[in-house]
Amino acid sequence: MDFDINTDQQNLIKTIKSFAQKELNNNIIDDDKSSRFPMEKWKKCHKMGLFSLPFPEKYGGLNQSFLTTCLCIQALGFSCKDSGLVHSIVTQIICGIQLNLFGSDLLKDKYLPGICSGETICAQAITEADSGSDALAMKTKAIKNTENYILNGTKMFITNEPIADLTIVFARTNPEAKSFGAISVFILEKDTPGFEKCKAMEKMGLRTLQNGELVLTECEVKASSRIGTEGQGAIIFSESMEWERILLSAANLGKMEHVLDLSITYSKNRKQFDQSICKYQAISNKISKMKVQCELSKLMLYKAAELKDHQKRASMESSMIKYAVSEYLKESCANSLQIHGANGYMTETEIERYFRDSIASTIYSGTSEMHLNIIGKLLGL
Amino acid sequence: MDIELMIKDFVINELANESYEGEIDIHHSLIQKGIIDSMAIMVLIRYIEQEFSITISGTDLTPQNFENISTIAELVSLKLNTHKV
Repeated sequence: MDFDINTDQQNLIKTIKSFAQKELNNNIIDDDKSSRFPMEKWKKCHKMGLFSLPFPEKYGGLNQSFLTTCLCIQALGFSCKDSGLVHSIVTQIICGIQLNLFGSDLLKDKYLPGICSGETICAQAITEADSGSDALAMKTKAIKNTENYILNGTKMFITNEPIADLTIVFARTNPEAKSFGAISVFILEKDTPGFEKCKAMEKMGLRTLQNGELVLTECEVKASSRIGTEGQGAIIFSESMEWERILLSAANLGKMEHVLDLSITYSKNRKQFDQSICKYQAISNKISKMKVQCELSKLMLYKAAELKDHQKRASMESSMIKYAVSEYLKESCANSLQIHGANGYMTETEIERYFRDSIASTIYSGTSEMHLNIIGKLLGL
Repeated sequence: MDIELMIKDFVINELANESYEGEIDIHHSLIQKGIIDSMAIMVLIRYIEQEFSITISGTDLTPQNFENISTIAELVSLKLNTHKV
């Protein structure tokens, strides 16, 4: 495996870092306080082509490899201080990947150009109040009549839903059957009758990210709006989770590298008892551990992305990287806050926000506990 | 070794729960019996890809192809033959 970053990739990384630092880092404390989604920054991101990275040129994509896409998102995670916005961008790309992998040509022609440009905001509705980790125990139904499907049910915590134009909805097409083979996937436009989205929910962290409920009541959708074949939902779920877990980890790795940089700078400048606090091993060991965790994560991440670029399975690798990076990020943020002391606890240094944001990473896209279960299962345990 | 037999061995030894006592015939629905669920499908595909050096993706990934041992073996044979061509 060749993990050398080529000149084109280096240039992309440089451009994204410079763009994010210049255009995306203002008013974040206020946006976080008011849980406001920065739509003006989203629009700047689509001018930059951030949503179009891995998609074919015929849909307006940049045709980049998944590894390059991960490097770009890692750069964005590093330089954009708004983790909620970064998460929102990753969700958009993942919805596009799902559609590109499993959607009909008709659906791809209709929706991918808007997703690539960012003019169409996309959400993916899987979770329900009673089915989180056990996602396929969902109750939302899609019952076929002669031509169409009628959807009924309620989805919860859906990322991007309050601002989405388009939602990829997972529902049971065969309520009597076992989950595997009973779930199908549909793409719904926001103005479909019976499609009601609720306002964004208040959260501990990632407050600019908009998460909300989606209520479907006798919501009629054409059979041609189904992604994949009937009953393919569980497989589409497993497949797309591999891409999602890798890409989210790229963003979180970028954030971890940023927190490492902040910790190094602060610990060098902050003096106590006549010397920089980095000279105390209690501090330097924490930072050294962060560095080890960043490097380990990089290797795992690039390997997983490379596997996807070669159309190979990465179920074990995506769970390992998701588990590791989210746990490392949470630990790094907690340690960075400790290193920054009272300053770190204050809103203006932004470390406390990174810490709050990091908590969700061990919950979304499969909790850490679920990933350990998956890894164990794949080991034959 | 016979593909069907290899898959049957794997299903019985690795996927069927220890408490599962029923007979597993090659035409029994693994989905209806609850042997193949969202977790088991990952384990099964990983085994098939590694054991037979093939890639299962895209349109191959349908519940019909994983309905029973016979359909899984058919899919594997098809992929192996495609690779030879």
